[in-house]
Parts: sequence; C-alpha cells; structure tokens
Amino acid sequence: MAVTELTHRPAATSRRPDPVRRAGRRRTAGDWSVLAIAVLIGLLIAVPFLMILVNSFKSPAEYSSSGPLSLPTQLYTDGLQAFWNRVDFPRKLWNSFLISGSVAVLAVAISMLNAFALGIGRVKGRTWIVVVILLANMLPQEVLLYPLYFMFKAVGLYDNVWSVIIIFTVIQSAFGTYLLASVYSTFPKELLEAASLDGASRLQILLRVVYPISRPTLSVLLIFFFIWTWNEFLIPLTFLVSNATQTVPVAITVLQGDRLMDVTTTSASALLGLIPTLVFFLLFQRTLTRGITAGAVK
Amino acid sequence: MSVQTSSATSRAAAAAPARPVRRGAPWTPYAFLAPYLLLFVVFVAVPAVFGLWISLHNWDYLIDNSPFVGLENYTRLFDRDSLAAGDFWQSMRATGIFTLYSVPPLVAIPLAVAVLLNRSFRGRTFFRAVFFAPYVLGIAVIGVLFGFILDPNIGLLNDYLGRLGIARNIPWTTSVPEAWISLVSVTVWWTLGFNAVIYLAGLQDIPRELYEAASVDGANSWQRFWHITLPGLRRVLVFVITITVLASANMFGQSYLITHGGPGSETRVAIMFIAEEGLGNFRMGSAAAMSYVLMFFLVVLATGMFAMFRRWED
Repeated sequence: MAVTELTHRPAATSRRPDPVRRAGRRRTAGDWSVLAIAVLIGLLIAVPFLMILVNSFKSPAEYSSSGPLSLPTQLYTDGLQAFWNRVDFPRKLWNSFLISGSVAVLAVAISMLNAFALGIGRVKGRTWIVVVILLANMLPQEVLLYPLYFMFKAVGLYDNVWSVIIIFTVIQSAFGTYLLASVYSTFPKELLEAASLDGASRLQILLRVVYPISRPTLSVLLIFFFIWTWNEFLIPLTFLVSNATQTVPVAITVLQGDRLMDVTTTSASALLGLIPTLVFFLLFQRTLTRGITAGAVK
Repeated sequence: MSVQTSSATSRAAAAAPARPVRRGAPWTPYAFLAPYLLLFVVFVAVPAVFGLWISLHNWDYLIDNSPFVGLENYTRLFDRDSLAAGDFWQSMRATGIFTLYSVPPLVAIPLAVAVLLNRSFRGRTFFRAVFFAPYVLGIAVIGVLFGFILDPNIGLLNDYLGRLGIARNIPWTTSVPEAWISLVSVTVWWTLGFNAVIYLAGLQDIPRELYEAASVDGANSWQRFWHITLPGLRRVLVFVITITVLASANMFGQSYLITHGGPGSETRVAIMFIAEEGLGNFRMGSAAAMSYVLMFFLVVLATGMFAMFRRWED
C-alpha cells in the first residue's frame, strides 16, 4: 500500500550504501567524481533559473549595454510591475488557485468514492469499469476539445472557470480511481468487518475507517492533482479567453510578442510564472518525489 | 511495488476469511460510483460521440447550417491533391520526428542520472530535489523561459556563446536541425528528474546481494550494469518507455511556444496544426476528423508497444 511505502522509503535509501564500489582507496576517488558529475548536472538545471532571475531586474538599456550575464547594477522592477499590472496578475493567481484547488478537492473526493466502490465494495464488471475509466484518461485531450467547445458554448459555460474545473475533475479522478482502487483492494478486511458489526453504514465506514487510514495517500493525490491542473495549458487556453477567467500559464503566454514585452519584461513574465510552482515545489518536494515512487510503478 | 512493502497488512488480509463486507443493499456501491459516472457520460462519452458527429459535417463558421458531408473530412486527408492533406501529414511527420529524436535521450539520460543518484554521496537528497525541480514547471513557463533563452537575436544563450567566442548567431529556433535539438534538449531538461525518480525506485528494489556476488565473481561495473541493473529494471523500463513515447507523441506546447512551429512549418506538430485548423480557421469538422485520425495512430502505437513489451517480458 502506498501509505506504508511513504514511510518505508527513506529508511531503505539511507541504509543502502554504494552497492558497487566499496573497495578501499578507489572509493574516495569514485565518490569525488560522482559528486563532480552531480554538481555539473545540477548547474545545467539551475542555470536557466539563474539567467531569468538576473535579467528580470535589469532595465532594457542595461540589458543591451552590459549583456545578460552581468548582475544588475540597480534593482529595476519596472518590467515586473508592468507585467504584473498589464495582466492583472493577482487575478490570474486567484483563478489558477481556485481552479486547481477545486479540481484537487473534488477529484480526490470522487476518486475516493469510486475506489471505495470498486476496491472494497462488490461491483459487477469492475475490471470493465476500470478499463473504461483508464481509456478515458489515455484519450488525447484534443479529441474532446471541439465537442466540449460547442457544448460549453451552448450552456453558457464557455469562458467560465467551471468548464475547466469540470473537465479536469473528470480527467484527474480517472487516474485517482485507478490508483486508489488498487490501494483499497489491499485494505485490511477485518477492520471493515469490525466496523460493520458495530452497525456502521457504508458511508460511515468510508468516512470513519477508510478515509482516516488512507489519508497519506489521499494527500499525495491532492498535491499531484493541484500541480497538474495548475500547469495545464491547452484546455485553459481554449476555454478561458477573457482576462477575467485566465490562469497564470495562459496569461504569461498570451502577451509574448506583444509591443509591451521588451527583453526584460519577457524575463519578468517567466519569473512571475515560475515563482508559484517553485514555491509549491519547495513546500511539497518530499511528497512529490515519494509520490512518484509510490504510485507510478506497480 | 507499492503492494510488496505492505506485506504485513496484505498477509493479514489474506489470512482473514475471504468474506466480503455485505451490509446494505447490493446497489450501494453503484450509488458511490454514480457522481463520477454521471460526469463521465456527460463530459467524456457524449463529447466523444458528438465529436464523431461534428467530423461528418462541414462545420464552418462561414456556413450557417453546417451541412452533412459524410466521410469527406476523412477522405480529403488521404487525397494527395488537397491542401489540408499535405499540411496534416507534414504535421504528423513533425510529431513522428520529435518522438523519434526525443525518446532515446529521455529514456537513457534519466537512467544514467538515476544510477548516479543510487550511489551514496554527500547531498544526494539535495541533488535529487534539484534534478526533479523543473518537472513542477508547466509547459507555459518552460515555453516562455526557453523562448527567451534560445531566441537567436536577443536570447541569452547566443549572447553567452558569443562572449565566450565559441559561436555567434546559432539559429536555435529558426532552422532545422537546430530547432529539433532545442526542442529535445528543453524536454530533457524539463522531465529528466521525473523519469530519474521512477528509475531510482526500481534500482532500489534490485537486491544488493546480486551486485556483491557479481563483484566477487570479478564482474566490472559495465558488466554489472548490463547483467544485473538492466534486467532488474525491465518492468520499470517498459513503463518509462511507454509513458515517454505517448507523451512525446502528444507534444504541443514546446513547438507552439518556442519555435512557433517554425522554421516554416517544420516543427508544427499534429496537435498544433489541428488546433490551428479548428480554433484559428474555425474549420471544426475537419479538425475533429484530424483529431480522430491522430487518436487512431496513437491507439495503434500504444497497442503495438504493449504487444511488443509483452513478448519482451516473457
């Protein structure tokens, strides 16, 4: 079960020493070269971030005179301010937060209901249902794009954040159902039986027994659903066309090539776009990396 | 693997009599499924069928009643003389080229990184986090970030290379094969950590004793990698290859935001072209037909891979 996996992993990794080179003096030499390679890759990863950071605080004039490598001589924030005001950034942040938060909560709740029915309850043709749900998850999004476009236009949900919330709730809970159903199928039966002997209804069993015990797995799902939805691009770009409904990823791309976007404002827009996800990463880094090892490979 | 680690609980579950919990009406599980099934029918099943309907019509905003045209939107794609067919297959070709170029590095480089991270050295947890960091960025941020860095005229990379005296004015986004190199490199930078973390989990499940036994037998590190690591990672490799091929075949944002499909339409991938056809030119019927043709190819590709890997796993 993914729940126990999460607590198992760190012990397993820290106990495991270098499996290959453990002989005498070569060990230090090997260790140094490993560290050197790791630092090199780390730099390759970090350099684009640093480039953006440095150049977001320069004036366009300074950028062209002293080039992209130099540190800014003064803290120029006009680019950041221009972009922030032009796209009404707080509004986009709120839209993204509202959409991703709603999808994460709704999709976790629905995944839990589905997985409880499929993994613990008795459902005829449950394999068949899981296969259909998974197929829907693998369906390329663009196949649904045009029909949904007309349907949302017809009911007035086009250019409304709820259109995107609904679509991603369906897509994310397909994956969540698949993952949680296999987790719940290994749920200790005696706990469920004890609860039902005590006269608990199915809903009470779900809320009082299954939910608290599987909370670590649910929170991993919640975090992944949030970040995946936050980063979605094609569907929000298609369905959220007005300034009032756009998300952060859409907002930072629509102005590219605009007259307003001088060199350092472009840099500033990239910086503003990456700060929210990077903050999110710093907060949930351990859960994210462990979540992949727990859920992805079965 | 997630099941293995909880062997204690699952063993306990197996030891208990296989009596299902059975309280309440037999239809209650379906009541729990109902909210999702309702959403699924309305927002997945109905649109999927409605999309087929659209693809059988000349759904053009210039034409009022969108006349029924039968399979014309499909047959047109296989008509050598039609303009749409040429553009469509050119975009399918671009998708194929990107998949072909991007899958080998996306499978191999993270494996090397994972092998590196599986060794014990100072700060490996820190490095694992750093390598993983770009994955949390969305494609929009990646696009703007690298669109700026790789821009041939005002971009940071060319300026940097110029100052070092290595090269000047490399057309990173405006010429092939440079544009493909850029798109593949950006994708590697973006998703390297994700595949590496998956590999790492697989590596840690390979028993250490195997390596020790091999060392005693005098196997060098390359032999150990070839005869222990790779076979031990077989299932993980299958998983990584499958999701990487499908992700590459669905690529859209990179070429839309970084190369804008250029030079010309060399890097305009299928999804980008279909989006232009439907949302740019408002030829929704034609675009819907194209997306079904693309889906057909993806399904064939996925089934082919599953069949191939099943044989390989045996």
